[in-house]
Amino acid sequence: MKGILFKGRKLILPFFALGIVLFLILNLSFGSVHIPFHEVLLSLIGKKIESVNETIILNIRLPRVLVGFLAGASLSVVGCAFQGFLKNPLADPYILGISSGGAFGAVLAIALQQFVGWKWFSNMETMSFLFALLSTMITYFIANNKGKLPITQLILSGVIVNLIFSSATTFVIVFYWRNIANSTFWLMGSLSGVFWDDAIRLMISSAVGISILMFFSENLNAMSLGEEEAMYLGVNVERFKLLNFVLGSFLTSVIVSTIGIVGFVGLVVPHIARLLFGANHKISIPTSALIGGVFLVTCDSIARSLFQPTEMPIGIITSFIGAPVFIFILKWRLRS
Amino acid sequence: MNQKEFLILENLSYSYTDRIKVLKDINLRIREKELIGIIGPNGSGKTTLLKCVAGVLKNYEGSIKIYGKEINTFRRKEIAKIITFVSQNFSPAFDFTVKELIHMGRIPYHTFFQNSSIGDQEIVEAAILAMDLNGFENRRFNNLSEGEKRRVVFAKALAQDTTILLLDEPFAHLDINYSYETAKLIRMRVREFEKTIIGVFHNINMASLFCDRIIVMNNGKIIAEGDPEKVYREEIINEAFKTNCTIISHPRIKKPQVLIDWK
Repeated sequence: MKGILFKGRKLILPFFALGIVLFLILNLSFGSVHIPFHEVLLSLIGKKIESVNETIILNIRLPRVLVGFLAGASLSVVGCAFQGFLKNPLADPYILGISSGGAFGAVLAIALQQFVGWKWFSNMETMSFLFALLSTMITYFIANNKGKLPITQLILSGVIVNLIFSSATTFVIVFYWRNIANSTFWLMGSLSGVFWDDAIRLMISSAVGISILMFFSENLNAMSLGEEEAMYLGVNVERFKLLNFVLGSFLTSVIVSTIGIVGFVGLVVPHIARLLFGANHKISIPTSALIGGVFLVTCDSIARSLFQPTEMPIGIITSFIGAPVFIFILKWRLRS
Repeated sequence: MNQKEFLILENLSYSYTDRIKVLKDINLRIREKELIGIIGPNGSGKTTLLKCVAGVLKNYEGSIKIYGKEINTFRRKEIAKIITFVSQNFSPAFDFTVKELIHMGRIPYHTFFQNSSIGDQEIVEAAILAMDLNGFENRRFNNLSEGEKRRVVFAKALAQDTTILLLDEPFAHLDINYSYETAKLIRMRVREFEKTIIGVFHNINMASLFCDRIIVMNNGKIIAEGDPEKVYREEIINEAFKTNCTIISHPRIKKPQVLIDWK
């Protein structure tokens, strides 16, 4: 499909990128303290402004916007790749239960460290990754029916896996901390309290994950014709699926262990990217990343500035946008 | 017909489970540029045979040698440069354009770091031309008619640029006009492009018009083989399909056609 913006994309893309940078800077203005746009610009180019505002911009909001952008980008790329290789328009790290698995792994790791005193096997990122991978595999094997993955069956098994791991997460939290409030962060996500080290970790993981998937964009194209077709085009299907499961679990678990579960981003964004730029994964993977980044940063700006003095969990905002899109795709796909 | 035999099947047997053999002792020698049609009732093993040759079903007994090398020792990518498989169902998950789909035929020639190869453009354009798809390049696949969709699938197959095309009931979903028109065009093009074809046909009258050599299968065995005139005999067709039929020669094309008796 040639998308709406595809014609002369070589001309449009630089403007697109420039627009995104401007947009990210604009977002540094919003929050519990409104900082005028010109002050934001001044502080970014190293000019002296009021020191409180400078600290807010450089040490709180800038890493937060970066983490939001990278998390949105990675979740969208995982969604795009999964929709492609599973040949399923509703695939998304949240819907397939990968995020819940990752969150459970992270919570379990923290509990084991704090309360049981385990040193080994309790690194948060590693545990998060292992459980994300585990939940992906469980979802896949429940849905798999003689090599076929019916759309609705995959969604149903995702729902179940999601339920199991979300419940297990809440169980661990209440069991060890005796405080249900802690679970909101993990189950509904939040970008408050991220720092530069989070931003740097996400930069590395996103750069690695997204660029590997971009190299495999032709295989994703082949897979979206069906597994058998992909095989006849020379794709080593089983190995490629495993690669996707591992990469998808990796990217998702890094995000979940930093900002908790943020749903529906990976579902919505790839559809927008395909609508605008066409179905070819060579283009829809990078554009999903850019649009996903902008999408999540926007949602975060809404979450942190419209509900003062508190913040809305970001997963609530993305669900409000994502759920209607999910329903629309489900109805429209099952009809054709 | 003195081209060399390059695809040789010897004592080929296959079973999905331990007990029932779907293919029993198949022996077949195929020459370059042959158009071969496999006919037989449902469950006779036609598609299984095709998938063994395609290298998808690997744990067969006996041997399938292509250019002297056993097919199950090839890497997937090497096979994709020799064999194209055209299945009867083709439904992409997303709304690709015609050109994007035909370009996918070039994937076997690309590597991890190089998503294009020399001559891609020319080969794709030749395939578009051959399948009368000029002006369709930027159309969306899902908006095409069934006949046009088939032509796109075949253009993609030609772009894959392999010696062998395996066809699994390629015209099954088309109405009479579309299926015969498409088949005629494809027969002309595979001759021009010097392809070898092994096709499974449900429509045995079309198989007679399309193919040089017919293979009749029943219960996993080859029960007859040869050019259509030799194979299309009442006792053979009746035995394979459990029918009562009359064979006539097409009054204008001089190829055998099967009429089913109706009493």
